[in-house]
Amino acid sequence: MLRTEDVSIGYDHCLLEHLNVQVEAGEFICLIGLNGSGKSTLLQSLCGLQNILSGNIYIDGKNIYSLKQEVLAKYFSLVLTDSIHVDNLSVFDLVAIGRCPHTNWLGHLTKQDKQIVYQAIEQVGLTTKMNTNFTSMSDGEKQRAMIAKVLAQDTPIVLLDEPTAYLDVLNRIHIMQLLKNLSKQMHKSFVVSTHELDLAMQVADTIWLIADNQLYVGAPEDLLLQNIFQQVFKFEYYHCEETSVFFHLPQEHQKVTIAVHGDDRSAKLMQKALERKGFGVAENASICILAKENTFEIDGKMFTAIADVLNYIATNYSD
Amino acid sequence: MTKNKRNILVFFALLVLLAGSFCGDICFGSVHIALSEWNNPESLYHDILFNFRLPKAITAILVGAAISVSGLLMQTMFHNPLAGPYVLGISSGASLGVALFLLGSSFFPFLLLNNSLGLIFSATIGAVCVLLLIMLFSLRLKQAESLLIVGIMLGQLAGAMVTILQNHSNPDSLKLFIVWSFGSLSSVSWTYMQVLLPLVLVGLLLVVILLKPLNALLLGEKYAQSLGFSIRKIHFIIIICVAILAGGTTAFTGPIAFIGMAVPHIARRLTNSDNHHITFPASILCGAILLLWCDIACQLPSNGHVLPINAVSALVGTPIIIWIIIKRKR
Repeated sequence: MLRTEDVSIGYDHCLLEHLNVQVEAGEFICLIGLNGSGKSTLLQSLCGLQNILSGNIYIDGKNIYSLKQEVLAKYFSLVLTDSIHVDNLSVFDLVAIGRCPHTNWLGHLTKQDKQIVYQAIEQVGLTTKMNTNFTSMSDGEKQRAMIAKVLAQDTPIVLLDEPTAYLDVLNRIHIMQLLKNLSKQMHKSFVVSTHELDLAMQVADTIWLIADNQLYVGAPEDLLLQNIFQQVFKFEYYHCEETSVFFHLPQEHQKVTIAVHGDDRSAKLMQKALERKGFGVAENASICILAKENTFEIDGKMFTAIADVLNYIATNYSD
Repeated sequence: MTKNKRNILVFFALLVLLAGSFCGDICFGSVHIALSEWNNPESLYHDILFNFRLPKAITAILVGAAISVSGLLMQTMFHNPLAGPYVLGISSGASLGVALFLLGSSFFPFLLLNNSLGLIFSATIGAVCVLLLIMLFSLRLKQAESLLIVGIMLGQLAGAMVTILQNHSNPDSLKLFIVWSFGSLSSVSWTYMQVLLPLVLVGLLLVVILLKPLNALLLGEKYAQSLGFSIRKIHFIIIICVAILAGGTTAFTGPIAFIGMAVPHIARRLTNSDNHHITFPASILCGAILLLWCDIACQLPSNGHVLPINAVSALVGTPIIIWIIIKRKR
């Protein structure tokens, strides 16, 4: 579908060189990389919005630079990170703007166009907000409206630049799920840049990972198998296990070790809290906490909240 | 949809208001004309009505619509609520042309041939020169913001040259220049109307083909490009439209302050929309009505005294703009 041939991208200096990647029809690609690594530049270069430094990009075998802007608009639709400042635009009007490449010179919406707009709004679950002002909506709803806009544009390739930025955890998951479902249902190719490594590993058919001015391409598991993540995220925060990647913050360590006994769940949580504070946890430590369902006993004193226990330890046992 | 029904009502009300204001503008003036005189072709009053007030009222409608639509175009193009029809330096260019014509005539006395035609001609040349420069820049600069700055700078440049000319001119021509800068709707006779009317109509028709890209521009230039529009091409056509609408009308009537900046906001508020298919006709109607009101207000002092339209439009326009700013900050 989309193919790059020895493409270099960047502005004054080159960000990525010798890119030879392709996007297949219906493929869901997650683009991962640190801030400033060139994710946005890559997305905008793929669709001709940003000039490339060298190489060629082909869509359906045609060089995109030989195609007119209005033709490209029927191949690519995108959601950028740029915020939109319009005071009085309803969701319907916004999504209808996505029909631009398909409407006549006046921008007249035919019955069919309107149907497509309604359907797009329904697919992102905003039907009840059809006439709501775009600016008055929450970030999550705004992102959904923008996704409806690209659906209305109805292109085989959809590029989204950090659609989950600024969203809460729940919305991040919902948006990713929505994108994945849309890609499957409508057999569209999605290239989604994101910082949600964890989510990306779960939804992506292919991961594009930018690191050290290089683009690594592969199925999430293949990248794990080749230890790419371990090479790329050298710093200690990332923790690569056999089959997944997650990260945890290093804690400052206290010399004191504490033992936790008792009820399974409360003991585990107590233990986690101690680790968070940097205390060692050992079975046979001299200081011992006895955890019951709702109480914690230390040095013969009873506490009902973990925070109180931590305070007690901090005042009595800290270095 | 209820919103559509509401807007149909708004448009209907605006049309009624426009008709009423038009009649009002013809009826009120510095002299009172009895109804009995209306059909008497012999009377001087008949002449005042049909050869003075009628073209003046039509001019108010045309100019009000033209500068308001120019303001709308500029606000969308620059994503700036305070942009107006003159941000690209059109009025400064026109006033430089007029200043050269009026004030420079002390150097070239033969220039002072036909005063009003000469004024229109020199204002047009001045505005066109500035706009040609802007168009050249628009082909080089992709960002609207840089274009805005270039426009303001060119305006300042023209203004500085006008100041120098003023410094070296005699009091009589200085007075003529200042009177021109007051603006005047009555300088358009039926002869000039034959130019002004088609000019404004062509300009407005040209805007119709821009409505679709203007809507896309609401989302920002990158989105507009991704929706299939060439940004430079759109900027170029927008500038041509503004040249015809704001440049053309300024040549005939002189600069008219603040209406072009305020009306698009009123149109958006009334229709509750940013969709140009709605705000474009709404701006035409609101602009025409507001300028008719300004013209009526000019005649208020009566006894033959008339206020300058440029001052009245500022008196009406500035409170509206301040109100917009306060509403925005809320």
